[in-house]
Amino acid sequence: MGNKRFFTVVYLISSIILIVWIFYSFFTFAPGMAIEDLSSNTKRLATNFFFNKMTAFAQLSIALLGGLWAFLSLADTQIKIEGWEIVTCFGLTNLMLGSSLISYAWGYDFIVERLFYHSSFDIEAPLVSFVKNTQQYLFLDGCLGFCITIIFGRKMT
Amino acid sequence: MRIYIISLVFILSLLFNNNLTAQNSNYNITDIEDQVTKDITLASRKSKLQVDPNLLVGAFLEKGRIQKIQLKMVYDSVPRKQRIEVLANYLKEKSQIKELKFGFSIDELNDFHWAYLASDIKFTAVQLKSVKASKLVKIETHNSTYDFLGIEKPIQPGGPFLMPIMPNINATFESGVQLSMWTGNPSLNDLFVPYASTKRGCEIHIKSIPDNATVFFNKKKWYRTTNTSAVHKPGTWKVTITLDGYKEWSQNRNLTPGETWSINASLIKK
Repeated sequence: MGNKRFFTVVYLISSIILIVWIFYSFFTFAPGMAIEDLSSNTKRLATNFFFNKMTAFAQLSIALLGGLWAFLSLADTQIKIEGWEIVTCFGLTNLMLGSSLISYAWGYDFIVERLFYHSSFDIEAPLVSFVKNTQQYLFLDGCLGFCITIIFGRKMT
Repeated sequence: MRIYIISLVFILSLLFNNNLTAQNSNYNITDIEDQVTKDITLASRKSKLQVDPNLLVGAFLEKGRIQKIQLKMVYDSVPRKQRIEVLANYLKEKSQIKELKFGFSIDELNDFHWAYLASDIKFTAVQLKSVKASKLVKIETHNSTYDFLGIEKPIQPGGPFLMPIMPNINATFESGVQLSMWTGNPSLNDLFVPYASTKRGCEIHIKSIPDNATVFFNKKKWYRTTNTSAVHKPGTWKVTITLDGYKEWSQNRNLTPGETWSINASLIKK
């Protein structure tokens, strides 16, 4: 019981720190993107890898969210969303994975628009780093919450 | 029977499309210039409506999609090398007209940011956006207002300043005319026709002498030093360039979607 509470509190604090960091980064980084010539095949390949990775994380986030909600909606699962600790973890995991998806959707559209209208994509741009890091860190935090929910939400009978 | 009808419709649609493409590719810059002269003369005779040029720019942003696509098609139909040469000469010619009227030197004019407004494929006005331009006009004319389309307007420092391409003609626009904007810097032969979308960002190209200077956009440090280029959200941008041992260079400008701002900053030693 003590472990459950300890991990929940640690997870709650880490999530709050992450959210504060995201807001801080959002208001401090220099917006915009340098214009890079994408005519070389290497740069095109790197751009493809970048988008593929973002998409893979987004697909995993959807899968995890699906799994998470199965615990709540199905009757005969071994995981029960009961008690304030598990409910908190469940809620935070949803928030983190959902935010990761929002970050992906916004960032992906934004970068594709820049590519389409300005034929440019700079992997070093603070804006691109922000989108990439936000999506990844939120996803990892969501995974952590997912693990805690499973481990401490198991029926002990 | 159905298959025959579908095939016929398909073939007809292909032919129709080819026809359209062929018509568009017939345009060239000389035709456009002739058309410009004719249309501006005609418009000045008609003098139907006087419109605030700033509103026309707004109308262009909102409604100019179709015209801009047509303009882009015409523009693309001219070979790149040829169109830059022809347009650069055309614009240099127009610059000399301004020199006579406003007392700008050709170098000063070339340093400004230019936006060429065109109705479909017809050039109608040229827009200068520069603090320097506003100040120069004030000095040269001893007056803080200018006359365009018959409306006396105050010159806002740093705000847009619109003047007709041809000084003898009071250009007027009929109701519903949609404008397209071309931007660029004649001295660099750097001309740009923005594509139709309000989702576009604005481009800021920065060159400094000496280079490797630190750049700030709206007081936020840019991750690259000069010479550099950046795409930003449309809006007001203040660019500051700093380098040890040199005086700080700073200017701000309001940029609309698709606009390009070319900065050539010569840093002065302290």
